Amino acid sequence: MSVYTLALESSCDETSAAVLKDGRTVLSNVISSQVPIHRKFGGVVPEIASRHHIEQVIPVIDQALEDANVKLEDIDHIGVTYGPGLVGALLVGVAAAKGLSFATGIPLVPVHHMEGHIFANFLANPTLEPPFLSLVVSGGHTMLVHVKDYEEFQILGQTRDDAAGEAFDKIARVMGFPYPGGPHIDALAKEGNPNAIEFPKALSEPGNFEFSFSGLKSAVLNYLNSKSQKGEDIHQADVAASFQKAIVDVLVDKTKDAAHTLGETNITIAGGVSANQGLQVALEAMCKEEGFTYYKPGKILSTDNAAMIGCRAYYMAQAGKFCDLHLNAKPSVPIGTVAWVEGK
Amino acid sequence: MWLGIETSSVVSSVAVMNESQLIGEITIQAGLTHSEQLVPHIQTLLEMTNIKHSDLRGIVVVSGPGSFTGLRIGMGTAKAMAYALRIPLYGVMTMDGLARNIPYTTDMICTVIDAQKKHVYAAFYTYEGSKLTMIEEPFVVEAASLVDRLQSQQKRVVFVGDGIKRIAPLVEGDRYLIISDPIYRIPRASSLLLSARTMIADGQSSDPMTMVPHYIRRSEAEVLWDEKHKDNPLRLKEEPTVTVIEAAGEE
Repeated sequence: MSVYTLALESSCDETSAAVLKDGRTVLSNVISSQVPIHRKFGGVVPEIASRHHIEQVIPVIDQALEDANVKLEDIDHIGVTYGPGLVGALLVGVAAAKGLSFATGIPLVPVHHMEGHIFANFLANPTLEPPFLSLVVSGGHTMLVHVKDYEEFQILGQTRDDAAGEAFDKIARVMGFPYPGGPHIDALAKEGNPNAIEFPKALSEPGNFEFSFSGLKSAVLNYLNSKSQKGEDIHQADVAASFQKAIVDVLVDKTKDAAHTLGETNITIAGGVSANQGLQVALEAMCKEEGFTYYKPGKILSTDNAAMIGCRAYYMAQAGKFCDLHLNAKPSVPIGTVAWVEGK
Repeated sequence: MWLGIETSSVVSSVAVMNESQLIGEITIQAGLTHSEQLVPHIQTLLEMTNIKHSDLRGIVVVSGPGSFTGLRIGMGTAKAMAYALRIPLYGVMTMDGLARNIPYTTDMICTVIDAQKKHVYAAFYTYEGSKLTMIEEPFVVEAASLVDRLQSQQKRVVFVGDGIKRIAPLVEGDRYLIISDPIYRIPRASSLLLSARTMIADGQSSDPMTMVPHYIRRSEAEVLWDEKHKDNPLRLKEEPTVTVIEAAGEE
């Protein structure tokens, strides 16, 4: 008998529903993206995001079931992102998932959004099994996670201030690019000289797995301000390339250091920033040089989507990690937090 | 049997009613979050009243205005339940339910729902015999100017709704303007169900695929953006929508 998972994701500006078979086969992955709507505001507006979620939530569920050709009655468990994310946005997905679960009696699985991002790797790479080291980089998170088993995670270190994606978007905004700016920096960096300007790399001593990008962000802003005050020309491509290199070097070096420290040879990347070409190329090169195996999710699986939530939910369901109908949205909740109800 | 869900304010209220009577109601005003409490309240109510899911013939949910988040939790839950159970879904305006709290009065009823920043969402109702009629479409108004307008009429008006906290300080000692007592002023799912009777009889249900809350107010960000770009009609016309993709085949 196959196991069918229905998953819901609404933590930021994507409303998504997916149906999975046996945890690793994606039958449908419907994503309703609001990116075009938030662009003019220069970032995600929480109230507007929530308004679109309540409009989109049932249509995406309906389409996911239809595309998968699976009936709601045949679903074995419902996984939903309960955090971290925008609270108003999360609440819509949580309310809908609870409504479905209560109406049908299908058990509910509370999924951590970043654990979902890590699990996207299982969908993209059918042969991947724990243990492995995962570099998690997104607009809200930057961390190195040791995935020891499907149910055992250890955070080796995370950012003390800005997330890598946040730094990308902020610098892109100052340089005049529309939201989301990360991809613009990535594209521009290809045309520039990464060694043109030396920007600081914080906490770069070996054995330190924490990150800090606020100093780098200030350094880039100062550089741009002082150039424009002096009336000097700014070579935008060089700034983008040098800034991107500073971030990528830190991410790659710390990943390498952590892998050697743990004796881990399987490396995965997770989160929205994993779509950054500069980072992918550098990480792949490092892995090749060190003899590591590098796994990455595809472009869509690296952005917010419900299939990755479904994959995480499947393994949690196998481990008996269900919650009751009191589940609440948690805007900031660490990886590995217990949201399920023991013995449920 | 119909289930009513009212989450437009801090009050969580759920009720079940059949054609002739109220079977049960849970109304809690204890500062608990709707997100955590709503579905457990529905579960408890159905258990206590011995009502099975299959007995439900429809769901009535408050459609707004009120707390944006509260409305979305109620509606997200109601839409998912109606979708899963394949039963009709009905949306009732917050004020239509609230006005039912004051039955058969000859006074005018003024529903006031907190709209933040000294404002309320207001509406007026009167009874003609046992029939309740809205006499003016809901509008957003500053509490003080609503009170000024009603004071000048010199007619008895009864206030209901959580906007009372903005109105009450302005009408102390006024012989015409009456602040209803705490048990009458809160939104109740039973009142919502009463209000939905005509809608149910006429088959005016909403589709869970398309139903959205009646916020009345736009988001702050949109108001500010339009204000900033009011001199540029081309930009004001920009109305991007969501893009929906099916990404299951992605490698």
